[in-house]
Amino acid sequence: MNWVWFHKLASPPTAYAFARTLRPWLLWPSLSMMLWAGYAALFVVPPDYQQLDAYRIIFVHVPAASLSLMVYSIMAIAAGIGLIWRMKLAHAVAAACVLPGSVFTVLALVTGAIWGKPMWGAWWAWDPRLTTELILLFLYLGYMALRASFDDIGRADRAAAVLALVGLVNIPIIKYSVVWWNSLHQGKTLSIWGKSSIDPSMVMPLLVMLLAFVMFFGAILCDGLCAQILRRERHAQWLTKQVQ
Amino acid sequence: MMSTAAFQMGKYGIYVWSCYGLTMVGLVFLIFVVRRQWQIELRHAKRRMQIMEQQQTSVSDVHT
Repeated sequence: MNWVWFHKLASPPTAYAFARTLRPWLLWPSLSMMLWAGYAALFVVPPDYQQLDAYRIIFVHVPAASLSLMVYSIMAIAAGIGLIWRMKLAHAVAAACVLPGSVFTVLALVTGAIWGKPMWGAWWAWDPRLTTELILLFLYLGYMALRASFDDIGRADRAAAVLALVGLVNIPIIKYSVVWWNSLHQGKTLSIWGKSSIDPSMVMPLLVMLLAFVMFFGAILCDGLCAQILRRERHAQWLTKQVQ
Repeated sequence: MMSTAAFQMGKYGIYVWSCYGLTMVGLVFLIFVVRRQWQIELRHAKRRMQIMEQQQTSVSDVHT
C-alpha cells in the first residue's frame, strides 16, 4: 500500500491546504445532522418509562462526554508523537485539541449536573464518574495554563506533552469508573458489540448526534490546526502563496 | 402544529431545554472563537508579508 499521501500530510503546507479544504465538508453536514438528531430527540422519540422526558438530555450529554474523552486521547497521542518523533505538526494538533476538548468537558459536566438535579435530587455528587470527569477538566485547564506559561513554543510543546501523557491514565478510569465502583451514575448506554441498554428507537438519534459531534470536532480541529500552523510557520516561504 | 406540552415535557422542560440551549451556546462559541484565532493569525501573517515586501523594495531602491 502506498503511504506517501499520509507522510505528505505531516508537512505543514499540505496539512494547511488539506484542513482548509476539509473544514466545510465536515462543518455543514455535522450541523445538519445535529438539527435532525436534535429534532428527533426532542419531538420524535418516546419518553423513557422511568425518567420520562428528562432522559432527552442524554442526546447532548453522551456525545459531549464521549467527545471529551476522545479529544483528550487524540491530544495525548498527538503530543506523544510530537515528543518522541519531534514532529511539529503533531504538537500543533495537540494544541488545537485543547479548547474544543475543554468545552466538551464543561458541557458534559453542566448537562450532567442539570440532568442530575431532577433524577438524583442534587446538582453534584462526589461520584467516581463525576469526579474523574472533573479531573479531566482540570487536566485540560492545566495543559492550557502550562502552554501559556512559556514564551518559547518548543519548550511549551514538550512540557505540555508530558502533562498530556501523564493525564492519559485518567481516560480508562473515567470510562470504567461505573464498572469498577458502585456509582450513582448509570452504566454504559451504547454498546458496539453487545446489546445497547436503551430502546432501539432511541439509538439512531443518539448515534447520529454522536457522529455529528465527531464531525463538528473535526471541523473545529481544522480551523485550530490552521491557526497553529500559521503561528508556528510565520517565517516560512510557502506561507506567501497561501496567505495571498 | 406542535402542542405546548411537547415543549413543556411535564416538569422537565426547563432542564431539557436549558441543556440543549447551553450545548448550542458552547458549540457556537467554539465555531467563532477558533475561527477568530485563525483569522487573527492570518492577518498577522499578511502584515508580516507586507512589511517584508516593503523592506525588500527599500533595499533595492538604495542599491539602484
